[in-house]
Amino acid sequence: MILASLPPRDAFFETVWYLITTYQQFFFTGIFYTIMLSVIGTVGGFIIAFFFTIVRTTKIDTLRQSKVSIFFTIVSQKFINIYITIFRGTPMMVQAMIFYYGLSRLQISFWTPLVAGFVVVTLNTTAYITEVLRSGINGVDHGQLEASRSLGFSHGQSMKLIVLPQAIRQSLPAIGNEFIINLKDTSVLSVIGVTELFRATQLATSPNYRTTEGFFIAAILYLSMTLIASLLVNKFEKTSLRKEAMV
Amino acid sequence: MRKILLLIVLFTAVVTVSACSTESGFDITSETEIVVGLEAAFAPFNWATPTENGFTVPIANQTGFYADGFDVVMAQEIADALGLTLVIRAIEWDGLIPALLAGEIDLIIAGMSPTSERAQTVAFSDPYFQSEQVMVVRNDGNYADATSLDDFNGARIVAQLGTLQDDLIDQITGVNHQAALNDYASLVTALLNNASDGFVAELPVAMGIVAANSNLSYITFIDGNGFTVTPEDVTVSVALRQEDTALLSAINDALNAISTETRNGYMEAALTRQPQ
Amino acid sequence: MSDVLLKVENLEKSFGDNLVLNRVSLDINKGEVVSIIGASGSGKTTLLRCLNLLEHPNSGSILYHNQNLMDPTIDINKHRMNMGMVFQSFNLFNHLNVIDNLILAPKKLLQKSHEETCKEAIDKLSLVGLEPFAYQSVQTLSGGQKQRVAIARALMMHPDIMLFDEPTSALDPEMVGDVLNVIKDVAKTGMTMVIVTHEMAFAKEISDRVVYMDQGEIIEIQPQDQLFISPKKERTKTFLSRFMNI
Repeated sequence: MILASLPPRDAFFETVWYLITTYQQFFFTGIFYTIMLSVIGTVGGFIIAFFFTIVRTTKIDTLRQSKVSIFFTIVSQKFINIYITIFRGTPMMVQAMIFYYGLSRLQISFWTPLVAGFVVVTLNTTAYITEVLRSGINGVDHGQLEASRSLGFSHGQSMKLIVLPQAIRQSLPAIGNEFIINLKDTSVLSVIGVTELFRATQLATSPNYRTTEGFFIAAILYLSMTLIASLLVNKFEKTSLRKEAMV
Repeated sequence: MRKILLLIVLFTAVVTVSACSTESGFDITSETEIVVGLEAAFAPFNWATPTENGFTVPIANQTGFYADGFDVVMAQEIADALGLTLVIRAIEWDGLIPALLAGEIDLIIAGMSPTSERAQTVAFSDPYFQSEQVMVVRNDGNYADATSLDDFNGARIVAQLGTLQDDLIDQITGVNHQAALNDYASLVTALLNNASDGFVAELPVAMGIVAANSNLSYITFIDGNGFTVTPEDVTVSVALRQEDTALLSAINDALNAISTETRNGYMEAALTRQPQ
Repeated sequence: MSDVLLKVENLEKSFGDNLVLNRVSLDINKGEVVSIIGASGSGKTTLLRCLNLLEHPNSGSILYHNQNLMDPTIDINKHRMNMGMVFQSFNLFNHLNVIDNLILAPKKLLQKSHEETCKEAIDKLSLVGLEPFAYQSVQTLSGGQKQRVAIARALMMHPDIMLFDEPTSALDPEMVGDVLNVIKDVAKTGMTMVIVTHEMAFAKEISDRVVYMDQGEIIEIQPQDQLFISPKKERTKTFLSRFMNI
């Protein structure tokens, strides 16, 4: 029974301790889903963004491509641009509501809030990383492409073998940053009932109404996650820079 | 190649949808479980707890989370009467009815009032609890000694978004009807910070809040001094899909077997179990 | 009469309103080394880059292996495999180490085996004096070393013509000599070469013929001993007088 242990309202730190010890399972679950959603969302987003980028950088060869193929390429490229505009131009919270409630009408059995949450984070992150990769590609010196073409590589081969690998490498800090942003932004998925850290905190504080103390704990947990993630991203940056700067 | 991919995706979607559409009516004899949806954040009706006790039911798909509360006890009674295993799902308030319609859950037992608006989309059982609407106020505020709605003339009053309570506020002449807030935690905070003078809540909920916050108390109104409500407004019922007619009769039978005293007893017990 | 490997006729190229190449014609014979000299803005770099269509001329023709490279229906990539290019800023592939820079194109484009290309890469690196650096990242190399790797990389595709775009202009003076020596070695193998350069002594030493360009036009083409010693045109004289005593 939890009963007698709830400290009085003015005992802030005792209440914090009480919440931590009593609801640690809730907080662990919340942390788990927050990290899971962020990791899968960022990785999934990167993978889809990679394919989007390949489509985006495909040059249309009016002489050698079939009309159908050209049509498909143009439509895909336009679709990708619209996709990016929409997913970067609307709040992820709104996207979550539309996806979760919208597809619920189809009565698909596996369409739970968690599944919807994974999908929304991934789709959202895709839009941002596609743009990051575009910047990355623009940042690769044009001479790389020229050298590649002069050896006889086609535009597509040059992209895949020379330009994209370098663009991705240069984009890694921004992608790491996107992961850190996701750690925080998954909190909006609470509105569709995903038990990430924010909602876990809501559940923990609901029956005892100790909202401030509860979210104080949540803040510390979020801060810990983002700090650790930042450290990892920095370390990764330093090791890859060190490899390149070896003299 | 991409076209083929698109076709495969469409095909899969169509197959999945048709395979998962709801069957015609919940069949008690062939089912083994009954899935109940609740918010798990509405004490003393339903809340989430990390510790088990004799009344808790595990929340599905969330290890370490258990549901407790008056609704959970009633849900267990109903499941036992129907001879089915009880499965509890925690779902955000706004998602409860969509989840019911989608077939994710079979019943909503979440302190939900059978309003006529909701009755257009779902079916409601007989009431399983009757309550009254009270006003929660600060002990050191201007309204601690109020006894009737008239005493709240000019007061800043608030309620939870999307609830009956929010609609009732306008019955107070001269009231300052503040914008509704998302949940009871926000209402409590608003009151404690003197952003509001009071909020409307159901009696059990008010009791739970007051037990957890010694600076607050609630005002009950004797007949005639309080809100004018229809019977549905002060009751809570079980919500089901409209086509589950057999299930509806079974539930009503089960509820009839539980007397009012027993129910009130359950509510009081839940109040003592609620963390305070 | 030696074979004409590359026949350029009436090439015109504008960047916007700016006419950079004004009906330029030039024959490159097999086995010969042709240097192109001139002031900045004379169009010499543009002309060189037109030869493998890195710049696309507005009009004219470039005949190579019985094909007009200006024809949009041909596969330019195939032709580029036979034309090696060395850039002023080296353009080594930064994400690969030295030997990978060399083997990438032969493996992917010529479908050669890994063992075969690696062996050849090590050979080429020895030729340019950089074998110990084979497995290092290209970022660790000096400018001169990078350019030598770039030359080796171009040679790996066994081109029949090599194009050099100011190969030493971006190098510190102490490294220029090493790179020029490598280019001289390549010339000794009988490679057809077109070199855009400011290094007059080098051009004199290595070339069969020298092309002087000014304001998008070829002013004079002569065998090297004639152009440097007794240029025919006034403009050539004026240009050369800045570099040497005539």
